Amino acid sequence: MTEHALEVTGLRKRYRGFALEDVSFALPRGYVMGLIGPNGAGKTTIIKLIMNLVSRQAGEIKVFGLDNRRDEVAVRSRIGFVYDVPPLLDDTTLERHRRAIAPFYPTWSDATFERLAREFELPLDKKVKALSHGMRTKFALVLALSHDADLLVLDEPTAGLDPVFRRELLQRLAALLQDEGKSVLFSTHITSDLERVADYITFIRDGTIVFSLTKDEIRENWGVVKGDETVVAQVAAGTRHGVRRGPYGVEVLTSDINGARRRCGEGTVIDRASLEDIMVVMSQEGGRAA
Amino acid sequence: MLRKLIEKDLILGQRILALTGGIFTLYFAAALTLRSITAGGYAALTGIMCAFLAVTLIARDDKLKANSLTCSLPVTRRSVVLARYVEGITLGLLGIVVAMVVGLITPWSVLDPRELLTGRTVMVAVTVVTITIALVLPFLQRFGIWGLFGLLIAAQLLGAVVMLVGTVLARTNPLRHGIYAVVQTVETSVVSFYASLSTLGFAAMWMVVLLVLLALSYGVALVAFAHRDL
Repeated sequence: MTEHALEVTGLRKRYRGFALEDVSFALPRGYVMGLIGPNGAGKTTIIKLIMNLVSRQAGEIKVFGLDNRRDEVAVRSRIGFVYDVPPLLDDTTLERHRRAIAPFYPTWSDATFERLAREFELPLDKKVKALSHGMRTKFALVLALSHDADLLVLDEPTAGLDPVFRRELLQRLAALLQDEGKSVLFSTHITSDLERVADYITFIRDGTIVFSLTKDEIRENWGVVKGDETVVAQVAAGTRHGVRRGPYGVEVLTSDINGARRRCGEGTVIDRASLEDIMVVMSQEGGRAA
Repeated sequence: MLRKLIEKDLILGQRILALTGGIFTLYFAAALTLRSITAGGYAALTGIMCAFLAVTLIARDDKLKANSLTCSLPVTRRSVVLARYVEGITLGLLGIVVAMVVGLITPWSVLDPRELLTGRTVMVAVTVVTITIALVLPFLQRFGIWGLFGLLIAAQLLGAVVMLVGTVLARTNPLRHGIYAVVQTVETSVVSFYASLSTLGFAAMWMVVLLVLLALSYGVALVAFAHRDL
């Protein structure tokens, strides 16, 4: 049995004015990976490539050891997929969507669907056009969870939701995942969502993977050194991943917080880097891969 | 898988299908009041409209990006394309049956029911449905709703250009006799084709031609859809 839920190797996809280059990462079974990056970095393209919704120029994608093109039916039946904007038919009821989609999945459970729909307070007799964006996302999530998928692929599921709703959605998602040992790939540009649920973080910028690490590695090793222009030189070049200059000084992102503490001395302010710090600093011009 | 895909489209498209079908049926009934209409003309008109029953359904899916919903299900793109051809032909043929029934039961119909219920008239309708589906679906699969619009606009422009060129040449150019000859040849061929459809052997051979055309169209649509990014 393969130990990875998802393995992406050497993926390349070119559009006019944008290219994904040599994208590789792996998600072990039973873990949650956050795919982060600024808007337009290539997160949705990677997810569409995993779902085989777009063609690629090179690379390989394996889901539970199966090739996502050669074994596309088997692969998709094990994936629960939530789009950033769920492509549901506005003039059709939720119940009709269920009737249309359920037969495709041998593992579909009406009982699970009904339970989740009740928990999410979804009006199954209502048409999609009567639902808010958040309710549509909830419905897409219910569809994705009702066929006992082993891998959930969620493309910006929290985008456009208000914070209360977002928190509720994440809590419900975390609770569902905790018991069942599912694997999850969760793309977002709202990094605070991942601080709560992710085990791995993969950061993409301009179509290139900057790093793919465990959240613990990031928490333990990454930091932001704050000070004046002199701190830039004090952080070892090999561990320096970006510099942000603002009206109140300079922030240097490092992947060796302990080394930076030794080199900079006691007087320098060094904080642990949040995912947001990392994304903001590395998205600046000159941000460097780990 | 094919059955599930067709059921899905019918479940999600039930409303739009009922609406379009209803409007088309009224239109069929209205067309039967036209003094100039012939049985062949009625069959051709209703054939085009019936082919567009499935086209409407697919174009709507494309407009609402439901294509990507379909292709994220555990299905192959090959089966998605095949399901659409099966739907197109089935809905088209069902539509023809409805059109024929309307032609037979409408009290104000100018058509003689005996003329309407001939093998030749039915073959005209089947021909028009098949050719329309074969022509439109590859564009729709590759370029979506814009492909359909592009095809319709291109056909309109082509017609306008041919008319314009014909009119200009008819006035000023000695080639006009050549153009008339071409037009007459086309007209004679259509009339002769229409007459030949009454012959069982020709109709059977023509059915084979239509099936080959559909198969070719399906092949093109398959390649086109396989390379489409959703």
